[in-house]
Amino acid sequence: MSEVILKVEGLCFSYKPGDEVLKNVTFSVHAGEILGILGPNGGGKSTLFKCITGQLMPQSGKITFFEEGLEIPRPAMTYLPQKDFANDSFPLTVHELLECARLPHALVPQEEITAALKRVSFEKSPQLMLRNLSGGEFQRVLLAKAYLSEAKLILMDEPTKGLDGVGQDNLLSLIQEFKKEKEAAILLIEHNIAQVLRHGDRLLCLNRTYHWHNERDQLEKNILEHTYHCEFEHLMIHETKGDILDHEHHACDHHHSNEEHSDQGEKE
Amino acid sequence: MSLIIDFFTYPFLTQALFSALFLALLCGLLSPIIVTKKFAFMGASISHGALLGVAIGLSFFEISSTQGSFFLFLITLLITLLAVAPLALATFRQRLPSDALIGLFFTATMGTGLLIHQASGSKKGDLLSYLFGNILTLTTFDLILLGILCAIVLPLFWLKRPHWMLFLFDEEAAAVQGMPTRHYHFILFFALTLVIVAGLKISGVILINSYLLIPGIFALRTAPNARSTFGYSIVFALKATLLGLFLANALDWPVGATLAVVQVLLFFLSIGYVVLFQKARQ
Repeated sequence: MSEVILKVEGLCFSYKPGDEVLKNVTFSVHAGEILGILGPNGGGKSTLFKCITGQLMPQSGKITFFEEGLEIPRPAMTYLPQKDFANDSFPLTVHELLECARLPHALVPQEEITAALKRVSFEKSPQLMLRNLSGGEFQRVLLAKAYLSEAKLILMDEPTKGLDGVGQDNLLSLIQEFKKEKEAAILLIEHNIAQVLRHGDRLLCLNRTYHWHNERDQLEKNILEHTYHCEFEHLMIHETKGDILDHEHHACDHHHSNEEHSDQGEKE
Repeated sequence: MSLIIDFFTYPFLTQALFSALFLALLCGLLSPIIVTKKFAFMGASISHGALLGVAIGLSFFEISSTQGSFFLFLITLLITLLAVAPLALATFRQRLPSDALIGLFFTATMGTGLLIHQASGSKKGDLLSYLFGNILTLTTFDLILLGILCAIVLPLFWLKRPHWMLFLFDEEAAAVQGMPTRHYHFILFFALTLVIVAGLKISGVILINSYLLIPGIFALRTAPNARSTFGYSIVFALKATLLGLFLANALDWPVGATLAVVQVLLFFLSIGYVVLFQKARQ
Protein backbone atom coordinates (compact mmCIF):
# COMPACT_ATOMS: atom_id res chain seq x y z
CA MET A 1 0.00 0.00 0.00
CA SER A 2 1.17 3.55 -0.78
CA GLU A 3 2.34 5.86 1.97
CA VAL A 4 -0.11 7.64 4.26
CA ILE A 5 -0.26 11.42 3.69
CA LEU A 6 -2.95 12.36 6.20
CA LYS A 7 -4.24 10.58 9.27
CA VAL A 8 -7.18 11.84 11.31
CA GLU A 9 -7.92 10.15 14.62
CA GLY A 10 -10.88 10.70 16.95
CA LEU A 11 -11.56 14.22 15.71
CA CYS A 12 -14.28 16.12 17.61
CA PHE A 13 -15.44 19.62 16.87
CA SER A 14 -18.38 21.78 17.92
CA TYR A 15 -19.06 25.47 17.26
CA LYS A 16 -20.99 25.72 20.53
CA PRO A 17 -21.07 23.38 23.53
CA GLY A 18 -23.42 20.43 23.17
CA ASP A 19 -23.85 20.81 19.40
CA GLU A 20 -21.22 18.49 17.93
CA VAL A 21 -20.54 18.88 14.23
CA LEU A 22 -17.80 16.23 14.13
CA LYS A 23 -17.68 13.36 16.58
CA ASN A 24 -14.82 10.92 16.85
CA VAL A 25 -14.03 11.06 13.11
CA THR A 26 -11.20 8.72 12.10
CA PHE A 27 -9.80 8.12 8.61
CA SER A 28 -6.61 8.20 6.57
CA VAL A 29 -5.66 9.16 3.02
CA HIS A 30 -2.81 7.66 1.04
CA ALA A 31 -0.67 9.04 -1.78
CA GLY A 32 -2.26 8.53 -5.19
CA GLU A 33 -5.71 8.09 -3.72
CA ILE A 34 -8.98 10.01 -3.85
CA LEU A 35 -11.01 10.10 -0.66
CA GLY A 36 -14.58 10.92 -1.66
CA ILE A 37 -16.45 12.71 1.13
CA LEU A 38 -20.19 12.26 1.04
CA GLY A 39 -22.85 13.67 3.26
CA PRO A 40 -25.75 16.08 3.44
CA ASN A 41 -25.45 19.86 3.79
CA GLY A 42 -24.50 20.86 7.33
CA GLY A 43 -23.12 17.37 7.95
CA GLY A 44 -19.62 18.65 8.80
CA LYS A 45 -17.73 18.25 5.50
CA SER A 46 -16.54 21.85 5.25
CA THR A 47 -15.85 21.94 9.00
CA LEU A 48 -13.62 18.90 8.52
CA PHE A 49 -11.72 20.74 5.75
CA LYS A 50 -11.25 23.74 8.01
CA CYS A 51 -9.88 21.53 10.79
CA ILE A 52 -7.41 19.91 8.37
CA THR A 53 -6.22 23.25 7.02
CA GLY A 54 -5.81 24.68 10.52
CA GLN A 55 -8.54 27.31 10.23
CA LEU A 56 -10.49 25.66 13.05
CA MET A 57 -9.01 24.04 16.16
CA PRO A 58 -10.70 20.74 17.02
CA GLN A 59 -11.71 20.21 20.65
CA SER A 60 -10.10 16.78 20.65
CA GLY A 61 -8.49 14.27 18.32
CA LYS A 62 -5.34 14.26 16.27
CA ILE A 63 -4.52 15.28 12.71
CA THR A 64 -1.15 14.03 11.49
CA PHE A 65 0.58 14.76 8.19
CA PHE A 66 3.29 12.57 6.71
CA GLU A 67 5.97 12.99 4.09
CA GLU A 68 7.95 9.95 2.98
CA GLY A 69 6.65 8.10 6.00
CA LEU A 70 7.81 10.74 8.47
CA GLU A 71 5.54 12.92 10.55
CA ILE A 72 5.70 16.60 9.49
CA PRO A 73 4.02 19.71 10.96
CA ARG A 74 2.29 20.82 7.78
CA PRO A 75 2.54 19.59 4.18
CA ALA A 76 2.30 21.66 1.00
CA MET A 77 -1.47 21.82 0.56
CA THR A 78 -3.74 23.39 -1.99
CA TYR A 79 -7.42 24.12 -1.93
CA LEU A 80 -9.89 24.24 -4.81
CA PRO A 81 -12.90 26.29 -3.79
CA GLN A 82 -16.24 26.50 -5.56
CA LYS A 83 -16.34 29.31 -8.11
CA ASP A 84 -18.75 31.41 -6.04
CA PHE A 85 -16.21 31.55 -3.18
CA ALA A 86 -13.71 33.61 -5.16
CA ASN A 87 -13.72 37.40 -5.20
CA ASP A 88 -15.31 38.46 -8.49
CA SER A 89 -14.62 42.16 -8.08
CA PHE A 90 -10.85 41.65 -8.36
CA PRO A 91 -9.57 41.50 -11.97
CA LEU A 92 -7.16 38.59 -11.45
CA THR A 93 -6.22 36.84 -14.69
CA VAL A 94 -5.61 33.15 -15.31
CA HIS A 95 -1.88 33.81 -15.70
CA GLU A 96 -1.69 35.84 -12.47
CA LEU A 97 -3.44 33.15 -10.43
CA LEU A 98 -1.19 30.39 -11.75
CA GLU A 99 1.87 32.53 -11.16
CA CYS A 100 0.90 32.53 -7.45
CA ALA A 101 0.60 28.72 -7.20
CA ARG A 102 3.81 28.32 -5.18
CA LEU A 103 3.50 31.36 -2.94
CA PRO A 104 4.68 32.22 -0.36
CA HIS A 105 7.88 30.59 -1.67
CA ALA A 106 8.27 31.56 -5.32
CA LEU A 107 6.50 32.66 -8.49
CA VAL A 108 5.88 30.07 -11.21
CA PRO A 109 7.78 30.69 -14.49
CA GLN A 110 5.87 31.40 -17.70
CA GLU A 111 6.77 28.15 -19.50
CA GLU A 112 5.45 26.01 -16.65
CA ILE A 113 2.18 27.95 -16.67
CA THR A 114 1.76 27.33 -20.39
CA ALA A 115 2.47 23.61 -19.93
CA ALA A 116 0.01 23.29 -17.02
CA LEU A 117 -2.77 25.00 -18.98
CA LYS A 118 -2.11 22.66 -21.89
CA ARG A 119 -2.23 19.72 -19.52
CA VAL A 120 -5.76 20.61 -18.35
CA SER A 121 -6.85 21.41 -21.93
CA PHE A 122 -7.48 25.09 -21.23
CA GLU A 123 -7.42 26.63 -24.68
CA LYS A 124 -8.36 30.27 -24.03
CA SER A 125 -5.95 33.15 -23.41
CA PRO A 126 -4.16 33.12 -20.04
CA GLN A 127 -4.68 36.89 -19.97
CA LEU A 128 -8.44 36.40 -19.49
CA MET A 129 -9.86 37.50 -16.17
CA LEU A 130 -11.07 34.67 -13.96
CA ARG A 131 -14.45 36.34 -13.52
CA ASN A 132 -15.08 35.93 -17.26
CA LEU A 133 -14.59 32.15 -17.24
CA SER A 134 -17.35 29.56 -17.15
CA GLY A 135 -17.58 27.22 -14.15
CA GLY A 136 -15.83 24.38 -16.02
CA GLU A 137 -13.01 26.61 -17.27
CA PHE A 138 -12.51 28.06 -13.80
CA GLN A 139 -12.17 24.60 -12.26
CA ARG A 140 -9.66 23.59 -14.96
CA VAL A 141 -7.58 26.63 -14.11
CA LEU A 142 -7.72 25.71 -10.42
CA LEU A 143 -6.63 22.20 -11.32
CA ALA A 144 -3.71 23.68 -13.29
CA LYS A 145 -2.84 25.65 -10.15
CA ALA A 146 -2.84 22.41 -8.15
CA TYR A 147 -0.50 20.90 -10.80
CA LEU A 148 1.90 23.78 -10.39
CA SER A 149 1.72 23.92 -6.60
CA GLU A 150 3.57 20.60 -6.15
CA ALA A 151 1.29 19.98 -3.16
CA LYS A 152 0.84 16.41 -2.00
CA LEU A 153 -2.49 17.08 -0.33
CA ILE A 154 -5.30 18.60 -2.39
CA LEU A 155 -8.63 19.63 -0.90
CA MET A 156 -11.49 20.01 -3.38
CA ASP A 157 -14.79 21.49 -2.30
CA GLU A 158 -17.49 20.55 -4.80
CA PRO A 159 -15.34 21.20 -7.89
CA THR A 160 -18.12 20.02 -10.21
CA LYS A 161 -20.76 22.36 -8.82
CA GLY A 162 -22.64 24.07 -11.63
CA LEU A 163 -21.19 21.80 -14.36
CA ASP A 164 -23.33 19.64 -16.64
CA GLY A 165 -22.86 15.85 -16.79
CA VAL A 166 -20.19 15.99 -19.52
CA GLY A 167 -18.34 18.81 -17.74
CA GLN A 168 -18.37 16.80 -14.51
CA ASP A 169 -17.03 13.68 -16.22
CA ASN A 170 -14.26 15.61 -17.99
CA LEU A 171 -13.14 17.37 -14.82
CA LEU A 172 -13.21 14.23 -12.68
CA SER A 173 -11.25 12.32 -15.34
CA LEU A 174 -8.62 15.07 -15.21
CA ILE A 175 -8.55 14.78 -11.42
CA GLN A 176 -8.00 11.00 -11.78
CA GLU A 177 -5.08 11.58 -14.14
CA PHE A 178 -3.69 14.24 -11.83
CA LYS A 179 -3.83 11.84 -8.89
CA LYS A 180 -1.83 9.20 -10.77
CA GLU A 181 0.71 11.60 -12.23
CA LYS A 182 1.44 13.53 -9.05
CA GLU A 183 0.91 10.73 -6.54
CA ALA A 184 -1.18 13.22 -4.62
CA ALA A 185 -3.73 12.53 -1.92
CA ILE A 186 -7.03 14.16 -2.84
CA LEU A 187 -9.94 14.90 -0.53
CA LEU A 188 -13.00 15.42 -2.67
CA ILE A 189 -16.26 16.81 -1.29
CA GLU A 190 -19.07 16.10 -3.72
CA HIS A 191 -22.84 16.19 -3.58
CA ASN A 192 -23.15 13.95 -6.60
CA ILE A 193 -23.16 10.47 -5.05
CA ALA A 194 -22.77 8.63 -8.37
CA GLN A 195 -19.65 10.63 -9.28
CA VAL A 196 -18.06 10.01 -5.89
CA LEU A 197 -18.77 6.30 -6.12
CA ARG A 198 -17.18 6.23 -9.57
CA HIS A 199 -14.06 8.24 -8.75
CA GLY A 200 -13.35 7.83 -5.03
CA ASP A 201 -10.92 5.08 -4.04
CA ARG A 202 -12.02 5.35 -0.44
CA LEU A 203 -15.11 6.97 0.97
CA LEU A 204 -15.95 8.94 4.04
CA CYS A 205 -19.66 9.23 4.71
CA LEU A 206 -20.24 12.00 7.19
CA ASN A 207 -23.26 13.41 8.94
CA ARG A 208 -22.34 15.12 12.18
CA THR A 209 -22.14 12.46 14.91
CA TYR A 210 -22.22 9.59 12.38
CA HIS A 211 -19.38 8.67 10.06
CA TRP A 212 -18.24 5.68 8.04
CA HIS A 213 -14.87 5.27 6.36
CA ASN A 214 -13.61 2.45 4.20
CA GLU A 215 -12.79 1.38 0.67
CA ARG A 216 -15.41 2.07 -1.96
CA ASP A 217 -16.29 -1.61 -2.49
CA GLN A 218 -17.27 -1.95 1.16
CA LEU A 219 -20.05 0.62 0.88
CA GLU A 220 -23.56 -0.71 1.39
CA LYS A 221 -26.97 0.84 0.89
CA ASN A 222 -27.72 1.11 4.57
CA ILE A 223 -24.59 3.23 5.18
CA LEU A 224 -25.80 5.84 2.71
CA GLU A 225 -29.28 5.65 4.22
CA HIS A 226 -27.85 6.22 7.65
CA THR A 227 -25.71 9.12 6.44
CA TYR A 228 -28.50 10.97 4.66
CA HIS A 229 -31.36 9.86 6.94
CA CYS A 230 -33.15 8.86 3.78
CA GLU A 231 -34.08 5.61 2.07
CA PHE A 232 -31.70 4.59 -0.72
CA GLU A 233 -34.40 4.68 -3.41
CA HIS A 234 -35.36 8.18 -2.31
CA LEU A 235 -31.73 9.21 -2.42
CA MET A 236 -31.51 8.12 -6.04
CA ILE A 237 -34.58 10.23 -6.81
CA HIS A 238 -32.97 13.24 -5.15
CA GLU A 239 -29.79 12.54 -7.11
CA THR A 240 -31.67 12.54 -10.42
CA LYS A 241 -33.40 15.78 -9.52
CA GLY A 242 -30.16 17.37 -8.32
CA ASP A 243 -31.54 18.06 -4.83
CA ILE A 244 -29.18 19.05 -2.05
CA LEU A 245 -30.13 17.38 1.22
CA ASP A 246 -29.48 18.92 4.59
CA HIS A 247 -28.30 17.02 7.64
CA GLU A 248 -31.77 16.67 9.13
CA HIS A 249 -33.38 15.23 6.03
CA HIS A 250 -35.30 12.03 6.74
CA ALA A 251 -38.48 10.13 5.96
CA CYS A 252 -39.45 11.96 2.77
CA ASP A 253 -42.56 10.65 1.12
CA HIS A 254 -41.68 9.87 -2.53
CA HIS A 255 -43.45 7.55 -4.89
CA HIS A 256 -40.86 5.57 -6.73
CA SER A 257 -42.44 5.12 -10.13
CA ASN A 258 -40.88 7.38 -12.79
CA GLU A 259 -44.09 9.07 -13.86
CA GLU A 260 -44.68 10.32 -10.36
CA HIS A 261 -41.24 11.74 -9.75
CA SER A 262 -41.90 15.06 -11.36
CA ASP A 263 -44.83 16.13 -9.22
CA GLN A 264 -43.62 14.85 -5.88
CA GLY A 265 -41.86 17.40 -3.74
CA GLU A 266 -39.51 16.67 -0.94
CA LYS A 267 -41.49 16.27 2.25
CA GLU A 268 -39.98 16.07 5.66
CA MET B 1 1.70 79.63 -15.70
CA SER B 2 2.38 81.76 -12.66
CA LEU B 3 -0.11 79.60 -10.76
CA ILE B 4 2.15 76.61 -11.40
CA ILE B 5 5.30 78.58 -10.52
CA ASP B 6 3.61 79.49 -7.19
CA PHE B 7 4.17 75.91 -6.05
CA PHE B 8 7.92 76.35 -6.35
CA THR B 9 8.06 79.94 -5.13
CA TYR B 10 6.21 79.74 -1.84
CA PRO B 11 7.71 77.20 0.56
CA PHE B 12 4.34 76.30 2.16
CA LEU B 13 2.93 75.47 -1.30
CA THR B 14 6.01 73.40 -2.21
CA GLN B 15 5.60 71.57 1.07
CA ALA B 16 1.88 71.04 0.39
CA LEU B 17 2.56 69.83 -3.14
CA PHE B 18 5.07 67.16 -2.13
CA SER B 19 3.12 66.11 0.98
CA ALA B 20 -0.04 65.67 -1.11
CA LEU B 21 1.84 63.73 -3.78
CA PHE B 22 3.29 61.40 -1.13
CA LEU B 23 -0.20 60.91 0.29
CA ALA B 24 -1.54 60.20 -3.21
CA LEU B 25 1.16 57.56 -3.73
CA LEU B 26 0.29 55.85 -0.44
CA CYS B 27 -3.48 56.01 -0.83
CA GLY B 28 -3.28 55.04 -4.50
CA LEU B 29 -1.42 51.89 -3.55
CA LEU B 30 -3.75 50.91 -0.70
CA SER B 31 -6.99 51.91 -2.39
CA PRO B 32 -7.57 48.80 -4.61
CA ILE B 33 -6.93 46.60 -1.57
CA ILE B 34 -9.42 48.50 0.59
CA VAL B 35 -12.09 48.46 -2.11
CA THR B 36 -11.60 44.76 -2.90
CA LYS B 37 -11.67 43.80 0.79
CA LYS B 38 -14.86 45.87 1.17
CA PHE B 39 -13.22 47.98 3.88
CA ALA B 40 -14.67 51.30 2.64
CA PHE B 41 -16.73 51.89 5.76
CA MET B 42 -13.81 50.66 7.86
CA GLY B 43 -11.54 53.40 6.40
CA ALA B 44 -14.12 56.00 7.38
CA SER B 45 -14.29 54.45 10.80
CA ILE B 46 -10.51 54.64 11.31
CA SER B 47 -10.33 58.26 10.16
CA HIS B 48 -13.15 59.26 12.51
CA GLY B 49 -11.46 57.31 15.29
CA ALA B 50 -8.31 59.34 14.60
CA LEU B 51 -10.17 62.49 15.60
CA LEU B 52 -10.27 61.24 19.18
CA GLY B 53 -6.47 60.94 19.11
CA VAL B 54 -6.11 64.40 17.58
CA ALA B 55 -8.37 65.92 20.25
CA ILE B 56 -6.37 64.30 23.06
CA GLY B 57 -3.08 65.29 21.40
CA LEU B 58 -4.18 68.89 20.97
CA SER B 59 -4.73 69.06 24.73
CA PHE B 60 -0.99 68.61 25.20
CA PHE B 61 0.79 69.90 22.11
CA GLU B 62 0.81 72.87 19.74
CA ILE B 63 0.59 71.90 16.07
CA SER B 64 2.49 74.84 14.61
CA SER B 65 5.94 73.61 15.66
CA THR B 66 7.77 70.62 14.19
CA GLN B 67 8.21 69.11 17.64
CA GLY B 68 4.53 69.60 18.46
CA SER B 69 3.54 68.00 15.14
CA PHE B 70 5.75 65.01 15.92
CA PHE B 71 4.21 64.36 19.34
CA LEU B 72 0.71 65.04 18.06
CA PHE B 73 1.22 62.47 15.30
CA LEU B 74 2.59 59.95 17.78
CA ILE B 75 -0.25 60.29 20.27
CA THR B 76 -2.90 60.30 17.51
CA LEU B 77 -1.42 57.17 15.96
CA LEU B 78 -1.24 55.37 19.29
CA ILE B 79 -4.80 56.19 20.30
CA THR B 80 -6.19 55.39 16.85
CA LEU B 81 -4.36 52.04 16.80
CA LEU B 82 -5.75 51.18 20.23
CA ALA B 83 -9.24 52.18 19.13
CA VAL B 84 -9.22 50.21 15.86
CA ALA B 85 -7.52 47.07 17.24
CA PRO B 86 -10.88 45.44 18.17
CA LEU B 87 -12.22 46.17 14.68
CA ALA B 88 -9.09 44.68 13.09
CA LEU B 89 -9.54 41.53 15.16
CA ALA B 90 -13.24 41.31 14.40
CA THR B 91 -12.76 41.64 10.64
CA PHE B 92 -10.16 38.89 10.29
CA ARG B 93 -11.46 36.14 7.94
CA GLN B 94 -14.69 37.92 7.10
CA ARG B 95 -15.95 38.05 10.66
CA LEU B 96 -17.16 41.51 9.86
CA PRO B 97 -18.85 43.40 12.64
CA SER B 98 -22.23 44.76 11.68
CA ASP B 99 -22.52 48.16 10.03
CA ALA B 100 -24.29 49.30 13.17
CA LEU B 101 -21.27 48.38 15.29
CA ILE B 102 -18.88 50.30 13.02
CA GLY B 103 -21.27 53.25 13.05
CA LEU B 104 -21.43 53.10 16.83
CA PHE B 105 -17.63 52.98 16.96
CA PHE B 106 -17.03 56.06 14.90
CA THR B 107 -19.78 58.21 16.33
CA ALA B 108 -18.54 57.34 19.84
CA THR B 109 -14.88 58.16 19.08
CA MET B 110 -15.73 61.32 17.13
CA GLY B 111 -18.20 62.58 19.75
CA THR B 112 -15.75 61.93 22.58
CA GLY B 113 -13.00 63.64 20.58
CA LEU B 114 -15.10 66.77 20.09
CA LEU B 115 -15.98 66.90 23.81
CA ILE B 116 -12.33 66.48 24.84
CA HIS B 117 -11.29 69.19 22.42
CA GLN B 118 -13.97 71.53 23.73
CA ALA B 119 -12.89 70.88 27.31
CA SER B 120 -9.13 71.16 26.96
CA GLY B 121 -7.63 71.60 23.53
CA SER B 122 -9.74 74.21 21.80
CA LYS B 123 -7.35 77.06 22.47
CA LYS B 124 -4.32 75.21 21.11
CA GLY B 125 -5.47 74.13 17.69
CA ASP B 126 -8.32 74.22 15.26
CA LEU B 127 -10.06 70.85 15.10
CA LEU B 128 -11.83 71.96 11.93
CA SER B 129 -8.45 71.77 10.16
CA TYR B 130 -8.51 68.06 10.92
CA LEU B 131 -12.09 67.60 9.83
CA PHE B 132 -11.66 69.02 6.35
CA GLY B 133 -7.87 69.38 5.98
CA ASN B 134 -5.78 72.55 5.92
CA ILE B 135 -2.43 72.68 4.16
CA LEU B 136 -1.47 75.82 6.09
CA THR B 137 -1.02 73.64 9.19
CA LEU B 138 1.52 71.38 7.43
CA THR B 139 5.04 71.46 8.87
CA THR B 140 8.38 70.13 7.64
CA PHE B 141 7.82 67.18 9.95
CA ASP B 142 4.61 66.23 8.06
CA LEU B 143 6.48 66.24 4.75
CA ILE B 144 9.33 64.13 6.16
CA LEU B 145 6.85 61.77 7.81
CA LEU B 146 4.94 61.17 4.58
CA GLY B 147 8.25 60.65 2.76
CA ILE B 148 9.36 58.06 5.33
CA LEU B 149 5.97 56.32 5.11
CA CYS B 150 6.36 56.12 1.33
CA ALA B 151 9.81 54.56 1.78
CA ILE B 152 8.38 51.91 4.15
CA VAL B 153 4.87 51.21 2.84
CA LEU B 154 5.50 51.34 -0.92
CA PRO B 155 8.05 48.48 -1.05
CA LEU B 156 6.03 46.45 1.45
CA PHE B 157 3.01 46.46 -0.84
CA TRP B 158 4.45 47.07 -4.31
CA LEU B 159 7.14 44.39 -4.19
CA LYS B 160 4.73 41.90 -2.65
CA ARG B 161 1.93 42.50 -5.16
CA PRO B 162 1.50 38.80 -6.10
CA HIS B 163 1.07 37.94 -2.39
CA TRP B 164 -1.51 40.69 -1.95
CA MET B 165 -3.26 39.59 -5.14
CA LEU B 166 -3.70 36.04 -3.89
CA PHE B 167 -4.74 37.32 -0.45
CA LEU B 168 -7.39 39.53 -2.06
CA PHE B 169 -8.68 36.93 -4.49
CA ASP B 170 -9.21 34.09 -2.03
CA GLU B 171 -7.97 34.51 1.51
CA GLU B 172 -8.90 30.97 2.48
CA ALA B 173 -6.98 29.38 -0.39
CA ALA B 174 -4.01 31.64 0.37
CA ALA B 175 -4.03 30.47 4.01
CA VAL B 176 -4.21 26.81 2.97
CA GLN B 177 -1.24 27.38 0.65
CA GLY B 178 0.75 28.49 3.69
CA MET B 179 0.57 32.27 3.41
CA PRO B 180 0.43 34.03 6.78
CA THR B 181 -2.89 35.72 6.01
CA ARG B 182 -3.30 36.94 9.57
CA HIS B 183 -0.09 38.97 9.20
CA TYR B 184 -1.29 40.43 5.92
CA HIS B 185 -4.59 41.44 7.51
CA PHE B 186 -2.94 43.25 10.38
CA ILE B 187 -0.24 44.85 8.19
CA LEU B 188 -3.06 46.25 6.05
CA PHE B 189 -4.81 47.71 9.09
CA PHE B 190 -1.57 49.15 10.46
CA ALA B 191 -0.60 50.73 7.13
CA LEU B 192 -4.13 52.09 6.68
CA THR B 193 -4.08 53.69 10.13
CA LEU B 194 -0.60 55.17 9.56
CA VAL B 195 -1.57 56.68 6.22
CA ILE B 196 -4.87 58.08 7.51
CA VAL B 197 -3.25 59.68 10.57
CA ALA B 198 -0.38 61.11 8.49
CA GLY B 199 -2.76 62.49 5.84
CA LEU B 200 -5.29 64.16 8.14
CA LYS B 201 -3.86 67.68 7.72
CA ILE B 202 -4.13 67.44 3.94
CA SER B 203 -7.50 65.81 3.40
CA GLY B 204 -9.12 65.82 6.81
CA VAL B 205 -11.05 63.13 8.67
CA ILE B 206 -14.08 63.39 6.45
CA LEU B 207 -12.50 63.74 3.03
CA ILE B 208 -9.56 61.33 3.25
CA ASN B 209 -11.93 58.54 2.32
CA SER B 210 -12.10 59.96 -1.20
CA TYR B 211 -8.36 59.19 -1.50
CA LEU B 212 -8.85 55.71 -0.09
CA LEU B 213 -11.74 54.73 -2.34
CA ILE B 214 -11.96 56.56 -5.66
CA PRO B 215 -8.54 55.63 -7.13
CA GLY B 216 -9.18 51.97 -6.28
CA ILE B 217 -12.70 51.92 -7.72
CA PHE B 218 -11.34 53.51 -10.91
CA ALA B 219 -8.46 51.03 -11.18
CA LEU B 220 -10.60 47.95 -10.50
CA ARG B 221 -13.00 49.01 -13.24
CA THR B 222 -10.43 49.87 -15.88
CA ALA B 223 -7.21 47.89 -15.34
CA PRO B 224 -6.69 44.90 -17.67
CA ASN B 225 -5.35 42.71 -14.86
CA ALA B 226 -4.86 42.61 -11.10
CA ARG B 227 -1.19 43.53 -11.11
CA SER B 228 -1.78 46.78 -12.98
CA THR B 229 -4.65 47.91 -10.70
CA PHE B 230 -2.02 49.24 -8.29
CA GLY B 231 -0.31 51.32 -10.99
CA TYR B 232 -3.62 52.59 -12.42
CA SER B 233 -4.78 53.59 -8.95
CA ILE B 234 -1.54 55.44 -8.11
CA VAL B 235 -1.51 57.33 -11.42
CA PHE B 236 -5.16 58.34 -10.92
CA ALA B 237 -4.47 59.60 -7.39
CA LEU B 238 -1.40 61.57 -8.53
CA LYS B 239 -3.27 63.18 -11.45
CA ALA B 240 -6.22 64.13 -9.22
CA THR B 241 -3.85 65.59 -6.62
CA LEU B 242 -1.98 67.79 -9.12
CA LEU B 243 -5.22 69.01 -10.67
CA GLY B 244 -6.88 69.50 -7.28
CA LEU B 245 -3.98 71.50 -5.83
CA PHE B 246 -3.74 73.65 -8.95
CA LEU B 247 -7.48 74.45 -8.86
CA ALA B 248 -7.47 75.08 -5.11
CA ASN B 249 -4.63 77.55 -5.53
CA ALA B 250 -6.09 79.21 -8.62
CA LEU B 251 -9.61 79.58 -7.26
CA ASP B 252 -8.71 79.95 -3.61
CA TRP B 253 -10.80 76.91 -2.68
CA PRO B 254 -10.22 74.71 0.41
CA VAL B 255 -7.70 72.02 -0.53
CA GLY B 256 -9.33 68.95 1.08
CA ALA B 257 -12.72 69.62 -0.49
CA THR B 258 -11.21 70.47 -3.89
CA LEU B 259 -9.17 67.26 -3.92
CA ALA B 260 -12.28 65.20 -3.09
CA VAL B 261 -14.46 66.87 -5.75
CA VAL B 262 -11.73 66.66 -8.41
CA GLN B 263 -11.34 62.93 -7.74
CA VAL B 264 -15.07 62.34 -8.15
CA LEU B 265 -15.21 64.39 -11.38
CA LEU B 266 -12.08 62.76 -12.76
CA PHE B 267 -13.53 59.36 -11.93
CA PHE B 268 -16.74 59.96 -13.89
CA LEU B 269 -14.88 61.58 -16.80
CA SER B 270 -12.41 58.70 -16.98
CA ILE B 271 -15.09 56.02 -16.75
CA GLY B 272 -17.10 57.87 -19.42
CA TYR B 273 -14.04 58.02 -21.65
CA VAL B 274 -13.27 54.33 -21.15
CA VAL B 275 -16.88 53.32 -21.93
CA LEU B 276 -16.93 55.47 -25.09
CA PHE B 277 -13.51 54.20 -26.15
CA GLN B 278 -14.63 50.60 -25.70
CA LYS B 279 -17.82 51.24 -27.70
CA ALA B 280 -15.82 52.89 -30.47
CA ARG B 281 -13.50 49.86 -30.62
CA GLN B 282 -16.48 47.50 -30.91
